[in-house]
Amino acid sequence: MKKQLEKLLAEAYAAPEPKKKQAFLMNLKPREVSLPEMLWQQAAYVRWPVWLFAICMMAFAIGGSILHLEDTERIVTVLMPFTAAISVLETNRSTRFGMSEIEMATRFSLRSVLFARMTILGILYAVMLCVSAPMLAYAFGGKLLLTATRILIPYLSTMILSLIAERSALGRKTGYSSAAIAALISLVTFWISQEQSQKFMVLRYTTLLENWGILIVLVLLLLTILEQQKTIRQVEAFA
Amino acid sequence: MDLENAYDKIYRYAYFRLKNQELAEDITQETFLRFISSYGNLQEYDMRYLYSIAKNLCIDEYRRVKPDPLPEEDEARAAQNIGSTEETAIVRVALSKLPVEDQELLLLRHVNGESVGTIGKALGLSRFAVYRRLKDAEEALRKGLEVSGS
Repeated sequence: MKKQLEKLLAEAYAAPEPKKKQAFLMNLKPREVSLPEMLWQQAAYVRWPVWLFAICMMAFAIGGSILHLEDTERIVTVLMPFTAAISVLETNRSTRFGMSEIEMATRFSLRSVLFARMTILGILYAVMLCVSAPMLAYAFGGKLLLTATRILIPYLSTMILSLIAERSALGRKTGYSSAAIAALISLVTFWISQEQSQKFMVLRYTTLLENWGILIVLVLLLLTILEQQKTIRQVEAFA
Repeated sequence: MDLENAYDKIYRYAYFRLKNQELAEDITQETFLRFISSYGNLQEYDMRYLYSIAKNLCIDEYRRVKPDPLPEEDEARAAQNIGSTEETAIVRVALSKLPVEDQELLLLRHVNGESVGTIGKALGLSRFAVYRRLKDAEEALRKGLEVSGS
């Protein structure tokens, strides 16, 4: 009965055949997407643990600065390599899970997706640095540039090494080489930040940063950009 | 659901609202273009939004110029071409006695096959309101058919 009624309703509501349907559907093209719009779209694909980790780090740096918690700066510095590792793992996600071919067949090229994700994560961590570094410097009476370089050096070093590792055959096979690199750099950073370690060093770490910190960061930044470019360029070859 | 099917549904809906083939087709195409301009593409299109856009466009069009429905003769001829059985004519008569909102609900639910949730979102009603009004409309149609049939 219901089927019969639905059939009658379909006939009663029938409209004349559309004349321009096929031509319209054949010419229907997606709208051009601007860069900010694409970044916004891709931000939705960045997994929530990445955002959570960055927010927790920032909250810890701000909270520690306000409450004058001892070792806040050291903990932030030691944890920075992990943010870099997470960035690299996040941007290489499609390759790691064998989704590159599918992503290359989508509307945006894999390169542009990768570029967008790197940019998003770069902006995220830049914001984190811009908020954390002044707070930490102000709270613990340090120099802003010194604090910023102290935070950036382990981050950028991990980033460079992780990008190289993820591109290597071994890195692609194991999948989590950047996590191992982050752990190693984190340990080294922790060791360097200890007072006892300074006697094994030719130059005190703080003195080194005061004299050469900005230059080191600039060199590392340049190398990071170069490595990111290489990754973006070669990503389709790895798929 | 394929795009062609979605096109047909929106077109049928627009035609129901405007009773004018050309306008209905223009509104259908404008609906898709507006969806693309807001959401970028039609890969993950949502019928709820398409219906909402189509409905608003129909209202705008109706306000702008009250569309000329087909002249009575043409309309009758068109109706004959589309559904020619006596039963269809009886259903049309019964439907014409229902409020437009009820006709709209019956179209969306029983002809376009939309879920209660989709209809609710498209028309700005709660699921419960859609369900209740749909039941009332079905009941009114059944009664109308009984009267027309007797």
